[in-house]
Amino acid sequence: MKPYPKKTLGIYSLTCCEGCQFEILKDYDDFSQLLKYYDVRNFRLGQEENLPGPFDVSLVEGTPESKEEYTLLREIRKTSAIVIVIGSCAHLGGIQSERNSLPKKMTLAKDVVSIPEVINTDFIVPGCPISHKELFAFLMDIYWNKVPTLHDLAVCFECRQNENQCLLKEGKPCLGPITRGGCDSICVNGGEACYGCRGATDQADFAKMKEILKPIISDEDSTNMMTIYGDYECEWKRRTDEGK
Amino acid sequence: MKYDINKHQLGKLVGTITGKYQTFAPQEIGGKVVLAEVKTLSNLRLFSRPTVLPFKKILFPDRVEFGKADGTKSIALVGLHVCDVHALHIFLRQFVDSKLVLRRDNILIVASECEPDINCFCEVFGANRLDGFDIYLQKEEGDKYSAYTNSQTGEDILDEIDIISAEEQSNPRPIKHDDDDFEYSLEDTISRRADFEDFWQRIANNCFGCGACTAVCPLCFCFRQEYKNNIDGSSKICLKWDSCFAKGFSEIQNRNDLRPENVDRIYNWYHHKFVRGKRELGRFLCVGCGRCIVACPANLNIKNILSALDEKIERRINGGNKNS
Ligand code: SF4
Ligand code: SF4
Ligand code: SF4
Ligand code: SF4
Ligand code: SF4
Repeated sequence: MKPYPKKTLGIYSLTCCEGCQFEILKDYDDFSQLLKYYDVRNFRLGQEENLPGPFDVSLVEGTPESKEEYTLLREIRKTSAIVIVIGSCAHLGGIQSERNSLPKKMTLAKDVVSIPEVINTDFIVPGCPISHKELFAFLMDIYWNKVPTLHDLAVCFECRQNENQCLLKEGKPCLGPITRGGCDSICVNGGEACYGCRGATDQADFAKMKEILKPIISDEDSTNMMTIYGDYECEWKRRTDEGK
Repeated sequence: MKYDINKHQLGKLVGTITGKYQTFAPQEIGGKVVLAEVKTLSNLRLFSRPTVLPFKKILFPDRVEFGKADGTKSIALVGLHVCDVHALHIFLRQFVDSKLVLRRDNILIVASECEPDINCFCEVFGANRLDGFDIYLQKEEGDKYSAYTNSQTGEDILDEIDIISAEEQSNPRPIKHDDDDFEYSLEDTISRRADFEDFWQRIANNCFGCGACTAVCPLCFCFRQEYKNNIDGSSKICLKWDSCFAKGFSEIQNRNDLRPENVDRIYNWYHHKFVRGKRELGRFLCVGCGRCIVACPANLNIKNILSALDEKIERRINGGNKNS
C-alpha cells in the first residue's frame, strides 16, 4: 500500500570519516526497500548523477570545515523541508572536536562546531556510527507523516535488560547513566564501556556522573571521556535550555 | 509432602518437568547466570544468586507484538527464589483482567532455596514465607535434596520419580526470621510528600533517573505501545518495557510533562510501590529482592531509604527482630 508519492531525499557528507554514509549502504536489501519510498536525488557516495534540491528530507553527516561546506550546509537548510543530522560528528562535533581542547598555537584551524550550532535542524539520529535500522525507521515514520522519536531512557536501562555485569559496580568507568539509550547497550554487551556516542539523556546529571567517576578515574580522564564524541555536556545544555 | 531425593533424581525431576512444560530456569549461558528456556540440564544453576532480570522477562517479554502472546500455553518456572514467588503472585494479580500475561493455572512454580545476601530484605514484607509454589527444592548435605509439594500438580509430578522416602508432616527450613507484624507507617509517610520534600529532593539529587531499577524490579510492569513502521511497508504494535523515569512516560500533549523533575519521578516510584500498589492490590509492590540495589549505578539503596522512612523497618533490617 503506497498512498503517498515518493519523498525526495538528499544525503550529504561534510568533513568526517563517512562511516555513517557507509552504514546507509550496509544492508543493500534494506536500502533498496527504502528506494521504494524515497527518491534519492543526491548521494555522492552511492550514485553518479546528483541533482540540487529542493528536497523533502536531507540527511547530513560530518562537521563544516571549509567555507564551501558552510555554504553548502546553509543551502541544504534553505532547500530542505526536513533536515536530519546523522552521527556523532554532525550531532556533537565528533572525534575531530578533540582539536578544540588543544592549545590554540598548536592548531591553525578554527574550532570544530556541530551542525545544530550552525543551522536549525529538525531531527537527530545519533551514534558513532549511526545504525541504519534506526535511521530507516526514522525515514519510514517521516514517510507516513509520523513524528519519529528517540529512545528516552539511559543506556543503563537496556544494559540491565541485557543482564551485563555493571562496569561502574566493578569499579570501571562507564557513561551509561547519562547517555541516551537506543543502541541496545552494544558496547557494554561487548565488554567495553559506554563512551556516550549517542549524546546525553534529557535528565543527564553531569555533576553526579563526575562524582561517581571520581574514585575510579582522574578528573582529567573523566573530562576526556565525556568529550570523545564532542562536548555532549554543551550540547545537552543548549538543548535543554531551548526546551525550557 | 516432603520427598528425599538425590542429585540423579533431581535431574530426573527437572527432566520430567521439561517433558511436560516449556521450562525456564536459571542457567549459565555465556558466562552469565540468566533465566532462560531449558534445553539441556548441564547449564542449570538451580540454587543460584538472583538473576539480573526476574521472571517478568519470560511472562512479559520486552517488545512482544501486540495480540501475539499465546495465553493458553503452559510453562514451568523452575528455581525461583521465595521472594520471586511472592512477586509472581502480585504480578499475576496486576494482569489478571488482561490477556497479556499467562494465568496462575498455566504456570508450574518450582521454587528453590536461596542464600540471603547483603542486599535482600524479603522478611520485611513477609516475602520470605514459604508459600505459593507447587514444588520447593531444598539443598541438603552431600548430593541430597528435599522436594516439598504444595499442590496436587506438584505431587503428581513427584509421583513420576522414584524417590528415596516421603514424609507427610514436614516443613521446609524457614528463610530468615518469620514475623507477622507488618503494620508500617510507610504508606502514610510516603503519601505526605510535602512534609518530606527535602528528603525526596536529597534522594533525587543522588539519582540519575536512568531507570535501571525499574528494568530489573519484578514488580515494575509498566509498558508502552510502540508503533513500528517497517522498511517493507508493514507496521506493527509492540509492547515495550517502559519506566516511570522516562520522559515519554510522563509527557502528554504539547510537551507538558506531568513529572518534569527527577524528584517527581523517583517520588512516584516509591509512591506507586508503597502507596498506590498497596491500595490497589493489597500488597506493596516490593518483595525486598534487592535487585534494584545491585542495579543502581548511583548506589542508591532502597533498604536505607525505607529504613529512614520507618523506624520499625530500620529495626527489622538492622537489628533482626531482637529489638521489636
Ligand atoms: S555498565 Fe554502564 S551502561 Fe551498563 S548499567 Fe553499568 S553504568 Fe549503566
Ligand atoms: S553503549 Fe554508549 S558508546 Fe556504545 S553505542 Fe551505545 S551510546 Fe554509543
Ligand atoms: S537505578 Fe538508581 S540512579 Fe537509576 S533511576 Fe533507579 S534509583 Fe535512580
Ligand atoms: S523495589 Fe527493589 S527490592 Fe523491591 S522488589 Fe523491586 S527490585 Fe526488588
Ligand atoms: S514504579 Fe514506575 S515503572 Fe515501576 S510499576 Fe510503578 S510506575 Fe511503573
